[in-house]
Amino acid sequence: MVLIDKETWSLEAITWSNFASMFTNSKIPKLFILANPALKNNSQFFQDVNLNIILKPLRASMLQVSLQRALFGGGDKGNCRNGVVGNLSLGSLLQGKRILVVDDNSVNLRVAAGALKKYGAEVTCADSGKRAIEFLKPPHSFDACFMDIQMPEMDGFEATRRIRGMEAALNDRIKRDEVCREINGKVIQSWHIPILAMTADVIQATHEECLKSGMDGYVSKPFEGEQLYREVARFFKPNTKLS
Amino acid sequence: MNSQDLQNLQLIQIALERIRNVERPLSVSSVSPFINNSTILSSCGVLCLNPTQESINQEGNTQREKAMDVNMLQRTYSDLLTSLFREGILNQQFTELQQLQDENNPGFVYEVVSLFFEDAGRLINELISNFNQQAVDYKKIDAYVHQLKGSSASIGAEKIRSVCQTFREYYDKNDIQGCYNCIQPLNQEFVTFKSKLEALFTLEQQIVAAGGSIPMMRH
Repeated sequence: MVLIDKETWSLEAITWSNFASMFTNSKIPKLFILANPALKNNSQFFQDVNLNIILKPLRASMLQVSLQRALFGGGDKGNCRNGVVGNLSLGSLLQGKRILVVDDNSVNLRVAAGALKKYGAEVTCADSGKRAIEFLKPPHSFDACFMDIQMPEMDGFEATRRIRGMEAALNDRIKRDEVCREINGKVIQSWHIPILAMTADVIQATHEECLKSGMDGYVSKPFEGEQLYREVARFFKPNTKLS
Repeated sequence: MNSQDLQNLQLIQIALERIRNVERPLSVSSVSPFINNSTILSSCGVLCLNPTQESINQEGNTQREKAMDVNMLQRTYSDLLTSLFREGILNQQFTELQQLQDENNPGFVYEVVSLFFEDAGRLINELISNFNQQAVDYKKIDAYVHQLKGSSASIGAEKIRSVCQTFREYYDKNDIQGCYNCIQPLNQEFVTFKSKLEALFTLEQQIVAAGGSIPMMRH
């Protein structure tokens, strides 16, 4: 990337074109010229489409837009555009949410946690179904759980069944007014933490078993942006103001 | 240079930082022979030319040499990374990992890949020793391969994941010979992966030590 303040150069307009063509024939570096808008009278200079011109006085936001557009193109439908939109959307859903991620494999755990943390979630990791049950015994303050299905000692289905069992027992007692409904200042009529299965092989049978055991849905492993957003959006509303 | 120029430079830096957080543009090392405060420029990787100034001073020359070294390192890094994708050793998931790395999580890729080296190394050793036993416990072996498939998929180690997939297909067909034939390639792919990624990380360290920034690839 090369930024040149036009006023510091004494090149004539015609030489500018030659100079600029050096840069347009190769992809990098990109040439940007910082120019005084008073020069708009020099129409030849400004009409040269090969020049990326940024007008002075400089503003950071304008610089960002111009640089981004020139570097990545207006019609770029690649990662960057999706990434920006996707990150913002998932961020508005997950910001500040307390999420439990359960996977017996430490690499998968680290990657899943990293992805969720990127969107602003507070992530706790558990490496077994047993640990998951300890964490999710109500009352607790988790907002959602991502659970690996295939784990050695206790798989995701069994762990979910037990969690739903604990929730059902407590909900019964809540209905009979045997226990207080309030936790951390929130009134909870009935406990049901959203549990999403994380699975590497997504097949129909797995889907049915997920629902049968009390899971709320599933996502593929590793996470895929749009699918993750779709599933998470079923439980969390977008936060219009991010804290 | 005057204060207006300095202010402009700061604005450029801010804009580039914003872009870097989102887009990670390809950046060049900084060369700033004419400006006293070169830290502004080097932190955002901007090459500035100001030819109305007088002759190049000694500092300028050394800066330019250092810049060339960094450039060469960056090019080697980019070439290596590109080849890893082209040869199918890495897939898109690795790029996703790189995008998870930011100032809040600076060593993320290195941490996760190092974890994988340990994890996969252990699993492959188990596989090999299990296969060398009198009575081979294929169920156990399948469990190990399943683990390896999951973790290699998580970090984008495509070739390793692919061999695990092939193993799984042979296993499902009860093809013992097919299963057995996967072990050696699995080990080989892991050895290759480890050495290439270690080379990549070494280059990263060298680039940073020389004051440059890591080029980001766009796929």
